[in-house]
Amino acid sequence: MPNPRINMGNLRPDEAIVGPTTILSIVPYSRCRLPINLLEMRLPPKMNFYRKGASGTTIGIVVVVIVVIVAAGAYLAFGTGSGTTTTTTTTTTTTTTTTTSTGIQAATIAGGGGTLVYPLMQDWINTYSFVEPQIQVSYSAVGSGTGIKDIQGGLVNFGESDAPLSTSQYAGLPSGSTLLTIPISDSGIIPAYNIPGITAHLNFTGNVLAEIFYGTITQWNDPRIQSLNPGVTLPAHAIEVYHRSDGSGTMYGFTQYLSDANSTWKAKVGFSTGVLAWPVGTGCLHNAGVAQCVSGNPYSIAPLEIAYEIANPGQINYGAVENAAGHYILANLTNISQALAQGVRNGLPSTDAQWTSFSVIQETFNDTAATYIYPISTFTYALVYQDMSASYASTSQAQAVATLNFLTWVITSGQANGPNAPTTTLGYPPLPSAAVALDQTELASITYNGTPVLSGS
Amino acid sequence: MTASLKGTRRSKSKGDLVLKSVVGAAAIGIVALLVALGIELAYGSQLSITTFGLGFLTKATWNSFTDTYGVLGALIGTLTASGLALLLGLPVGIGVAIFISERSRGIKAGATALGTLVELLAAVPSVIYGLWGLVVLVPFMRGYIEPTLKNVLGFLPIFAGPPNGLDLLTGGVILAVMIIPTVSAVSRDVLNAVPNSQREAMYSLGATDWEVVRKAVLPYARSGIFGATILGLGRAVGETMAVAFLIGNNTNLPISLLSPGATLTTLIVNDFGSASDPLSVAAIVEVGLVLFLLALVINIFARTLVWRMTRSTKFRL
Repeated sequence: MPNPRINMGNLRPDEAIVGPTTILSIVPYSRCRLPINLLEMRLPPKMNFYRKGASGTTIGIVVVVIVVIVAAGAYLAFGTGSGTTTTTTTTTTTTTTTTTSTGIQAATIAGGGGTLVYPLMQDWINTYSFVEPQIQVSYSAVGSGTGIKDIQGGLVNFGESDAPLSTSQYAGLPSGSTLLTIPISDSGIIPAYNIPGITAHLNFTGNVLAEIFYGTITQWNDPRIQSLNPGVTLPAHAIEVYHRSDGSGTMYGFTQYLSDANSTWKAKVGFSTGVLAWPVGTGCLHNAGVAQCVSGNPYSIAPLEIAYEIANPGQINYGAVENAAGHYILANLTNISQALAQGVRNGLPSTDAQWTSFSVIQETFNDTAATYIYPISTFTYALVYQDMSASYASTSQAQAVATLNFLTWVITSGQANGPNAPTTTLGYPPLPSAAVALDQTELASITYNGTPVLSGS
Repeated sequence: MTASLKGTRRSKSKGDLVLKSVVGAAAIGIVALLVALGIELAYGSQLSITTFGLGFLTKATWNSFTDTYGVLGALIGTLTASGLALLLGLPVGIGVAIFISERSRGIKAGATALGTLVELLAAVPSVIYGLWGLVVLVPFMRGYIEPTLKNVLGFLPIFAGPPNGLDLLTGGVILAVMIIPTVSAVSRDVLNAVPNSQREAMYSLGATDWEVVRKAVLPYARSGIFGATILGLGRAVGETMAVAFLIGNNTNLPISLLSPGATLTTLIVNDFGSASDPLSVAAIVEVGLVLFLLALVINIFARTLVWRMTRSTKFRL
């Protein structure tokens, strides 16, 4: 149907051209104007509504402006740039007074933090829900950094971090607050590799590992590696380095060890729970990604958590690392636990400043007396405020009791290490008893409105 | 005969007023949201901007130990991966659209079904692309494509270095796969809207199929296809999870297409969970700001190009 709005003079862009297809001449067709009809008929131009008063568009603009002003006002009045006000997770206790034989009031508590302990935490929460059904625990594995931010903002009842807080993180805590750092679990970091044809466990020293990951050693049959492994013929192939692309406690521990072992690494790269400036290598996302990268690429090497290897035995080959006593130790749950026991032989730090420099790796790095400990072992910590009644902690009495009860259970019953215990099957070495005792001292010091929480309930 | 409504009274319908208010509010609201987003990003990255200044854009390092951050490597990675995605994905997407729109009536239904299947690619979540890429695409690239490229074109500096599998090339390939459905869907609509008179005129002159497409259809649909390109580019620039799995995540300057790189989006997704001190958080927000401005610049550039391309012709879709 011919469109009555066409005229020959100016074709408007939104007008389709329909009509007889007459061939004109040999002009370029992209510029061809086809004659349709010569009727000049225009519909009336846009109807003007000559009415006084506000048009619809104006009203719309006014509404939006009002909404924006109200939202901005609410934001300025009730929130600051970094949400220090609590909103959702600290729900009040249920009003029913259901208690179990242990007499603990029902509560819902929330924690957040690193991903290193997440599989074990899941198991703990599940088992604990049978021990104390009236207490509901939830844990979000959002990363150590976010866990620390959450506890700084009072958004969770307990935080979790793969490393103690740094100076700047302590500075971000609410003024006048004391945050307790409580080891609840641990991990060891192993050098996993994939060399076709080699099933033996290779020996590595800290210095050699640092040079591999720095890029100084590039071939597998480099004499520095070969001299540590006289019984194995290493191939003449380039080493493919892989590491985590995101920040993680696993990389924190590994790079801390490399920093202690090699001064170039310490100066140029260092260690951190955040993203590191790895000089060489490819980053893979999460531990599962790293494991996939290693198993899928021959001649590769990557630092991996012992938990992954224990949960998937036999799929990844890994090497032994030399400890301070000169022995090459192949990591297992026992020698990691022993390393952690050595790490707390001088007790846990008592001040914030001491915590910022506390590390099991550094404590055991020069410890020649401990003959069979695994040198790359780290704790992972729960973070709770000492005064849980303070406003910044955003915790009710029942939640404080529930949190401490949960944490006490975690460091005692949760560390059971039978052959079918979750710590064994999931690959988390149990806390040494020395650490458990120190933890319980810390937990006993937590107060609510002046009275200690644990003995009071 | 021209009619004119000059002097008539405006309609008194209240319903019209309500409609205009609501629709106007929605439109202005979206713009306001965009502006608010930009302001919030700028506000959140203040600390990083004052600490690093322009060095943020000229250094290629992301070191949370020494607290030095620079996005040059990630910026180059974004532009390279997106450019590669357009280079590989655009011909395929437009080709699919041409195939569907240029078929005769007989098998047009089948061609449309094919087009729908291609657009189903857009329904696959991005993480699935990443996992699939990690398990299937990477060994394929590393075992077959990249060694072949190195054998044939290894003298070119863009193919220097060992074939890694997890590199900018693989990132570009997965992005190309992800933008094909977008480009194909939009191009198909654009090409279907080209009036048949154009094609018939060309055919009657004795042109072949390919000449009809090349000289009559595509030039007519030029700006629409350009719009499809920009949509595809927008998706490629903003894609996060699929690229994070496959691009190698190395924030240093990439030396070739076969070296692991990073993009602005993967930088954010890798660091956000672990950043807790104010400077690193501000640095990540500044990466977001850079990404936002990059997308804005690309869109403005594209719109200007479209405007220049079409203001001289009478035909525009």
